[in-house]
Amino acid sequence: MTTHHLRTDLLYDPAALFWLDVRGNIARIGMSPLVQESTGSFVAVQLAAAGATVAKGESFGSTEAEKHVGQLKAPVSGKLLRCNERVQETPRLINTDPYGEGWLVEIDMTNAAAELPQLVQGEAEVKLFFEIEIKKYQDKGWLAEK
Amino acid sequence: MKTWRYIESDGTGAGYGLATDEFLMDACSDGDKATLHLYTYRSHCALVGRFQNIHAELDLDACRRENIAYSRRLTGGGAILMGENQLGVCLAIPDALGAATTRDLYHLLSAPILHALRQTGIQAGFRGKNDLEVGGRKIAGLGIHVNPHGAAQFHASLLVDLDIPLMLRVLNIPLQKIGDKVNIQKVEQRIATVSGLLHRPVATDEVRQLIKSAYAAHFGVQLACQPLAPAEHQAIRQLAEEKYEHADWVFQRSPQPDMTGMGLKKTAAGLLRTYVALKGETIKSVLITGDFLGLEPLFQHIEAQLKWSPLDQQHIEKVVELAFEKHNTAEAGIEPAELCQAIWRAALGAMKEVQHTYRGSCYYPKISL
Repeated sequence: MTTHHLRTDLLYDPAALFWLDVRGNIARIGMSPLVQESTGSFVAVQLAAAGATVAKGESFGSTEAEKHVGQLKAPVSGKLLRCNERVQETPRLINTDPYGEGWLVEIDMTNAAAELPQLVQGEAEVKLFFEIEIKKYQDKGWLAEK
Repeated sequence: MKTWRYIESDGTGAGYGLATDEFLMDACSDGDKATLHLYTYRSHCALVGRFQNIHAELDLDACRRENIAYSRRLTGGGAILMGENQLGVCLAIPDALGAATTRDLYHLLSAPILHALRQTGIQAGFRGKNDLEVGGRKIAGLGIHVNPHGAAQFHASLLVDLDIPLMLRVLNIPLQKIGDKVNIQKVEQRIATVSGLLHRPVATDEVRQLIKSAYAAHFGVQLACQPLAPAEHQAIRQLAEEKYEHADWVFQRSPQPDMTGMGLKKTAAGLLRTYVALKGETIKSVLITGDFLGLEPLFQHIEAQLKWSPLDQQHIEKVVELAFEKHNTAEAGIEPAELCQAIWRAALGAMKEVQHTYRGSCYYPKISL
């Protein structure tokens, strides 16, 4: 990726390309740099309120980038423990610091044993997965213009 | 050959029109049948973007005086004025039709509109990331919303004609307080209409039929005219009442502050005045003015490129430099660096402004007189 190094110590949702930093039963979730590089600059983020329960694949918020409003689909099931208020105030944090200040939510997982194995994980697997994804994005011209 | 549903409607209310499009999008979540809805709103309705602050974008007192309904779209972008001379295009699709990114989707779904315009002799193209333009002037705004099931609604608002003085009264646009012919001309320099470009009054339905045919041809589908059934009308009416006409939706606030600022810069060619509107750290709009003969295309190009882009000094410099390279500016009497300074000064001014006092629109920020 052109603007950020890929962190291979995290888990990745192969569908929406979210990263998950899993500690115990809590998963902190954000967007991988590839998402923001292909989507462009985020201008709005709206997250569900802490305390809400989401099932894997359900929406926990929405974003606007380039007049495109899309849903954030939960990569794991659970209860939203924390939502990043800063990223709602400054959505560009997703672009500028996707692994840091640009995190989105923390979920207390309710089905981790079944759902975590479905995520991309381990240095070799993560590298291979993103090599293929990045090649696909480049070949199809999906990366955002700088 | 695949069949898509086709619906025409006219004179719809603000909330009802938006509810119709959400209903159609959700309806195609369960199947694979897309719907093309070509319609007009009752003259007039003002619609703000999904995450905009309606108080910042519209003069709500003016809306009430002018009997203009208002609501909030599902799609992003800026405030628009819709009526009988602005064609609403909504394509509800069950999935992204093979397009993987926003840009792909915008290009794919708006191609028939460009084709239809070309059939009239209007050479329109993409401007920036998601507007359609003719000679640097915006003729249509585009937006996309994807629902949790992956179904999407693509929206376009095409200017067949436009009541600019009314727009100046209703949308929070600089120059609106002056309202003289000069300022109407400034708007006309940035906005194009089908009627204006063809130098004749064009009926919205004439454009609608061209666009209908263009969508069918472009996607190789048959359009089956299937008006809304009574039960669908009822469901849409309920959605309009519960959402698009409800204060909780219409007046919801964005956590990001809206701000505006102005930058002045003396140049060899005259005084350069630049206005920048920000939403958080995103440039919402830029307006560059000054008595510079022949530089309007340059200014409009920069304004379009900077709209909805990150507030980043290097990005601004790059956009300005590329614009100067593209346009013939040898005798301009103004340097790229001077323009960058003016824009950046305005942005800094905006950041200093007290939050939530901004009044601006998708077209221009407010001018303090």
